[in-house]
Amino acid sequence: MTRRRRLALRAACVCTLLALGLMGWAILHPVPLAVIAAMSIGQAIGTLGFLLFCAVAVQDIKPIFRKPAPSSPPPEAPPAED
Amino acid sequence: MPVDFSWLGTSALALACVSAAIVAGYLLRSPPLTGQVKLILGFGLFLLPTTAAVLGNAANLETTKTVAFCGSCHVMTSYVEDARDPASESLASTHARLEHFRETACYTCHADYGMVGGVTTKINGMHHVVAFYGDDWSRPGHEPPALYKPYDVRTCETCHDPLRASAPLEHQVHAEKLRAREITCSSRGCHGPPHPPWVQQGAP
Repeated sequence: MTRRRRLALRAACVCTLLALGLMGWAILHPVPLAVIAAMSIGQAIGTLGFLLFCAVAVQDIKPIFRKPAPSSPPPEAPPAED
Repeated sequence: MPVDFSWLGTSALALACVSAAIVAGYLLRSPPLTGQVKLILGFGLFLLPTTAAVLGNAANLETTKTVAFCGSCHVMTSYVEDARDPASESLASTHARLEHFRETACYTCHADYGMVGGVTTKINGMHHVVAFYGDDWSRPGHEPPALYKPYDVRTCETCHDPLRASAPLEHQVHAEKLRAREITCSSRGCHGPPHPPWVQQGAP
């Protein structure tokens, strides 16, 4: 896995943690500001994390579905010596 | 505001905790991404948080229907106090004391009528929140909270049919005006006003 994908995965983890934190805050302390923050900012951050994870997952499984490159014909066998 | 944990909120919190533990564990330990780690991350970054978000949103939407939530903005305190006052004879209070919708009395009466009523109610509620946090409520001459449109009497008629077979004589006399919505339940001299005048002008 490339360094870029690793970074994207870590960013997805941070986004998910932030979104879950906002959601937990709204459930534990249900005042208007917390609920609105959870259902707007929290949703946006959570969706971003989810998309990052999807991007990494797609890049990760892409080689499995990639068509194998046409292989060059096998070298001709040297003529048999008597 | 007291927290009443519903099964939705409890489930959302439990799933969020498991997901957060998985994600935090990955961030802290940074294990090599083997097939097993990828599978666990799939749970921690996709399955569990998505389910937690769905349940959490449902729990939050239910919370926004409660009287305690409406009363958490201080401009609504006098309304909620009247609604919960056992000695009050206001229309709002007599309804809010009913067992059937005691906890969601504000929403039950103020939610818009119709199939998309819940959505339009939430959009209008957002206007209230913006006004609450954006306006200077202590400014002299600031208007108290008000409805954005005339109260829809069809909400009352969900439970009470004013022209039912056993309707009182007063209703029968005014049948035409009731049908034409010229007079409604909360009209002067009928059952209104829904909230006592001192409540609508602010706490005494």
